[in-house]
Amino acid sequence: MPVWTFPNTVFFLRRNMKHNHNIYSIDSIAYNSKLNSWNPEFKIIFSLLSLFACVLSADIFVPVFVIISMAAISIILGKTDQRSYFKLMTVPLAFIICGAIATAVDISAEPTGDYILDLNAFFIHTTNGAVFKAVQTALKALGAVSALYMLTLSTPVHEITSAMRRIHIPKLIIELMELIYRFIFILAQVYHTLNTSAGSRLGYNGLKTSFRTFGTIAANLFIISLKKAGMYYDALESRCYTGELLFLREKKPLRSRHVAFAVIYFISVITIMYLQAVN
Amino acid sequence: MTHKQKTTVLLSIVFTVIMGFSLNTGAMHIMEGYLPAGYCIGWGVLCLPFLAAGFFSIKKTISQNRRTLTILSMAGAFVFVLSSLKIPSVTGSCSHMTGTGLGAILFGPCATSILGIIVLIFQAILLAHGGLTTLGANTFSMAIAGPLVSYGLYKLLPKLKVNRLVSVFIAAFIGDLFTYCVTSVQLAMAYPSETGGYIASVLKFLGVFAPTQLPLAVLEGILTVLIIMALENYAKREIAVLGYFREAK
Repeated sequence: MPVWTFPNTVFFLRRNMKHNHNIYSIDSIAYNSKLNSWNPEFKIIFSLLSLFACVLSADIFVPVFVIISMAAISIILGKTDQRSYFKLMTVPLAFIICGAIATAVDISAEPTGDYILDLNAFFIHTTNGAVFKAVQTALKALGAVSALYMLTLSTPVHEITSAMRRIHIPKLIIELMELIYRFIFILAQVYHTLNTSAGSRLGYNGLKTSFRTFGTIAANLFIISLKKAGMYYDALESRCYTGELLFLREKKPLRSRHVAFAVIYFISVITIMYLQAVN
Repeated sequence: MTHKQKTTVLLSIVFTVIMGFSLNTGAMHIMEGYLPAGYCIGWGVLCLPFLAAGFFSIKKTISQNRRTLTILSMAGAFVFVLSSLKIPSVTGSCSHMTGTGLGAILFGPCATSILGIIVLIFQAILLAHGGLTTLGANTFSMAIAGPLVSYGLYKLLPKLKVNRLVSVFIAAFIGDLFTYCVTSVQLAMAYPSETGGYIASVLKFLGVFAPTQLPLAVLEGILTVLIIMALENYAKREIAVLGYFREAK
C-alpha cells in the first residue's frame, strides 16, 4: 500500500507531477499562501500555542475546534487549494488511525475486557475506556498536526529558521538546517534522474536486481552529494564566505488585526476548556 | 453469519490490526500528541547531553576544516532522502531505511545525533511524520540509541576478528532493532497495559512490531552493506574526508 506512507510517496508522486502533493509542493504552497505576508514569528507562536492547547487538553472539544479552525484558516484565509490540503492531511491521518488502533488493543492469554477477539493461541481485547482514550489521542494528534500544517503551509522554511536564529539557537545548527533543506531538493532531483535511468535499463527486474540497484543508487547518490558539497563550498568561498550564511529577510510587520484575531481565537479555546471543566 | 463469513470478518480484522501496527512502525516515529507532556520533556532532557556532545564534536570538526560544513549538510540531506526512498521489498508493503546505522558508521554517533534531530524536525514540520512534542523521544530512539549501538558494534566486531562487511551488517541490523525496541519501551511507558501493566505492554508492542521490524532490520543491514561496498569501491577519497578509514585500516 505505497500511498499510505508519505516518505515513499514523495518520490512516487514526483513522477506524476499533476498530483504533486509532497514536500516540493509544500514549499510552493507556502510561498503562494495569502498568509505568507503575515509576520512569521506571530504564526509560529500562534501555531505552537494551538498545538500545546491540543496536546494538553483533557477533552476532545479543543482538538476538534483546532482541527476545524485550522482547516478554515488555511483554506479560507490562506487560499490554499482545499484538495491539496485534504490530500496532505490524509497522510498523517493514516498514521494516526493506525497508531490509535495499536494503543487501544491489548493482547493477553486471558479473555478480559469489553470486546474480545479469540485467536485460539491468545486474545486481542479492548475496553470501552481504552477505545475512548484512543479516539481522544487520535483527535489530539490530528489537532496538533493541523496546527503545525497551518504554519508549514504558510511559512517558507527559511523564515522558520530565521525565527530560530532570533531565539539564539546556535548559529551552527541554523546553518546546517538551512543548507540541509536546500540540499534535500538537489538530492531528490539527482535521485529522480538515477532512478529513471536505472529503471529504463531494467534495474528493477526481479527482487535481487532491485536490491542491487537500490544499493548502487544510494551509494552513487552519496558520492554525487559529496562532490556537489565540494562544489558548493567553492561557490560559497568565492563569494567571500567567512563562516556565516545570512539571507535577506523580507519585512513582515506584525499587524494589530492579526493580534486581535489571535486573541479572539485563544479566548474561544479557553472558553471551550472552561465549559468542559464546568460540565 | 455463517462460519465462513465469521472467519472472513475475523481474518480481515486481524489483517487490519496487523497492518495498523506495521504502518505505525514502518515509520518508527511516535506521532505528534501520542506521548503525555511528562514523557515528552523527559525524553527531551535525556537527549540533551548527547546533542551537546554532538554539537561540540561538529563544531570542532568544522573549525579544523570549514569544508566539512557543506559535507555534513549534504550528509543530513542524504539521510533525509534515503529515509524517504522506497526499499524494494518482498511483501510489496512500504518500507524505508532509517539510514541511522549508515550515518553512525560514516560520521560517528555524535554527528549523527545532530543530523538526526535536524532530519526529524524537517520530517515533523514538512511531512507531519513524527512530531514536535515527540521530538525528544524520537531523537533518543532514532538518532541516539540506534546509532550508538551501531557504532559500538561496528568498532567492536572487527577487534573480535569478524569480517568487516559482516560487522557492518550486524551493526546496521542490531542498530535498527534496537531503535525499535526503544520505541516499544517508550510507547509502553506511556500506554501501560490495563491487565498486565508495564512489562506486558512492552511485550505487546515488541511482539506486534516484530513481524514487520525483523525483516526490515535485515533489509537495512543488507542495504547498508551494499552501500558501504559501493562507497569503498568508488569513493575512497571522499569518505576518507569523513574519517571513515581512519580507524578501519
